[in-house]
Amino acid sequence: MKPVHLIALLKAPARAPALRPADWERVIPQARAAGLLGRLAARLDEHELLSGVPDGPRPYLESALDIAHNHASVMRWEVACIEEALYALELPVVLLKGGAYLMANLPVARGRFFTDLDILVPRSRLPEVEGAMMRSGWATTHLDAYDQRYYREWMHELPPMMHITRRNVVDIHHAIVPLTSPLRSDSAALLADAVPVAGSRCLRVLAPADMVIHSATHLFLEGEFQKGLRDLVDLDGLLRHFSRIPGFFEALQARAGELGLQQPLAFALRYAARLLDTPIPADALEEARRVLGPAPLRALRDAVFLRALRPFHPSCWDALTPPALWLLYLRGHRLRMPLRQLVPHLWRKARMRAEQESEDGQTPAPRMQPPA
Amino acid sequence: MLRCWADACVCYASPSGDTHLLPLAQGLLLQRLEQGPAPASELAAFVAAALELPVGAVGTAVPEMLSELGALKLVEAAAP
Amino acid sequence: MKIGAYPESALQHALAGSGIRLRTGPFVFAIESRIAALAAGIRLLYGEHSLEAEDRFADFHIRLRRPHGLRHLFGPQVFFDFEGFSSFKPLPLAQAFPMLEWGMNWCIATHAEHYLIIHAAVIERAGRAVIMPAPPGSGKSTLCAALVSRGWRLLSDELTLVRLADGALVPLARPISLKNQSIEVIRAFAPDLVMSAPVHDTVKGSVAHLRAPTDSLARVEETAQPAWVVFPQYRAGSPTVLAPHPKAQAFMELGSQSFNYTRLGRRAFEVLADLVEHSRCFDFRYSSLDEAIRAFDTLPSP
Repeated sequence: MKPVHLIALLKAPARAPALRPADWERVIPQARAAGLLGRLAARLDEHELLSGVPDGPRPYLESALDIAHNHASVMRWEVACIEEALYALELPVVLLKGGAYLMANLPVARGRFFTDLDILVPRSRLPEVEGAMMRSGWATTHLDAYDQRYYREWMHELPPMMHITRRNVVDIHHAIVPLTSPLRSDSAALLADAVPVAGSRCLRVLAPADMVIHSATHLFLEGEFQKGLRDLVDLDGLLRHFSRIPGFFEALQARAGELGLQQPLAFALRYAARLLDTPIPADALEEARRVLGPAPLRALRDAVFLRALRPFHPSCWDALTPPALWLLYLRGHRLRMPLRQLVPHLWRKARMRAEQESEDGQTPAPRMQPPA
Repeated sequence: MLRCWADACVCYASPSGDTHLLPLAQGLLLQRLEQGPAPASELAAFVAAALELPVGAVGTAVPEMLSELGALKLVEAAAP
Repeated sequence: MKIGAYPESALQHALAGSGIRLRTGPFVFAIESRIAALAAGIRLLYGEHSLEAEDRFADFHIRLRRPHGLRHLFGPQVFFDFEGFSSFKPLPLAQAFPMLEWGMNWCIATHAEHYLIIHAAVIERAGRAVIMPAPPGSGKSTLCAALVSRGWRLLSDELTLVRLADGALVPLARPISLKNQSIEVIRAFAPDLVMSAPVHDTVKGSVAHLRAPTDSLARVEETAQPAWVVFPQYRAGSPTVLAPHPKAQAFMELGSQSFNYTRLGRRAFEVLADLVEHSRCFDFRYSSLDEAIRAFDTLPSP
């Protein structure tokens, strides 16, 4: 497969001064497609290479970093609003993903632009949490009865809640794996071991091993991979950061075993090492190989994932990429719900998409709508 | 971050990222509070002097203006 | 060599092959297309531009193409692809050139985040610029075209780019788009300006484009400083009235007419506040272009 300019640069920022305009013309669109402009800029900046990027591509990197930085302040504010809404309930509220990386001041947060906040709360207290959020101005979305049921009965999260005035979105999870999935996860264990956020009355983040496992589970249960590389870059960042903890990898594998999530972790370790050169102990990689099955099955998985995890840009695709993405799309759905639910669900999605397209009729010109 | 003109003021609220249009009097209140906390009486005197109005005309409106600014999370009550 | 000097067939060939590189102000567009008619539009409306060399960094890669597969059975259509993906629903093939222009606007407005970008026309004379924000239907483009034909330099008829580092206004010097009645109005008012043939039945009605005047293009690297913000409103039969517009309100309206004010956060606030600080702000009602020109000639100094 062709080399990917963006990935090569993420792995070895020192290459930046040697890149020609034609190379930057690959890097920038790939980074845009992958949602990694800010992260790449942060990586270059850490190595003091950002200011040396040529005049053509540099503004896109610098502005992405500035915007991510500015947005981080706004997201801290939004996190504070969630705390304000929920602290009186006296229950653990665990931040997940971008919100967690930000509030725990992890290196992986730098340059990372995200809009939705994800939290994990005990399932038994979901009604109280939803009520408290509503009183503070968040309203449920996906008002269609089917969608409500999809989320509430089958998925691991409530329908996203959107704030009425500020329009920010919060996803409230009670598990890290859908209820209908063949995989199981133990939310109580995750909540019990969560680490308090400094200075907060009720907010926590997952313990390091759990944070990695959650990120791996989220990525490798996914069906759509536009953000695949971005999530893998998150994993790479988390692993590099937490590997400084003595005994981390042993604890990580043990925990994955306890939670029944060895497979997603195995995928994560294998592909982070393969694509991003994440330093992982040999025995952890060997264990990952073992978990991922006999050589032929592993080879098939490699062929599929190593394509899907590249930037979502035609320059990174070959003839096998579309079928690989399609397989993973099916797999993602299969991992979320059993076939007897999956088939009607996909049928419904396809019907709704067809209705949407036929309604559009007269094709609109691109509209230059300033934000409302 | 506050900018005032003859008609009104605009304010960038740093933590939330919101931008507000504020009547001149409230902008002046914010300007004064940026220098440090103050009791309502002192704020009324400041705004009255700036707008060249008698203190009495301004004084009764100050608590309400502060309350509106509080709702926008631009100010908060400090312990006396 | 200027684009207008190439034979149309050569331009078609280049577009259908490895594409052409077109510089518009600070941006280089790499454009590919096998749609033959597009070459004619580019040759006319970018005739005074030169092509960039292949080794210059291109900010945006775009392609205008016919549909794949069986969709062409629905009547001839054109897609706009940005970096390999179709960003929009297709339009009728006859609208290929307007689609190119709208698509280029979209690329800049969406991705050029090192500028505060305001949906407004901006023109300049004697070192001082007028910014004209206006919702559709206010006559902004007609007014802009008229002023540009009477000595004002064109920076842009749609996108005001405010450089974040220093607040300078950065020109694009791209074609001006006109709609419906204003096409004939400007054809009569400024017959010397090069205009494309109108394209009919677009979502905006009939659309035509004016080539940017040579002088505006020659000075495309020269930034401008804001001096006035004028909110125009065409009203048939109206006298020409210039009335002060309160500054804080002007700030809020400019912000709401911006594509990226919120994303840019505090820097946008500072840049926009400085811009308003240094400008005189007016509402402008008019019906006569001649009177409008005179009013602009005598705008009070900031």
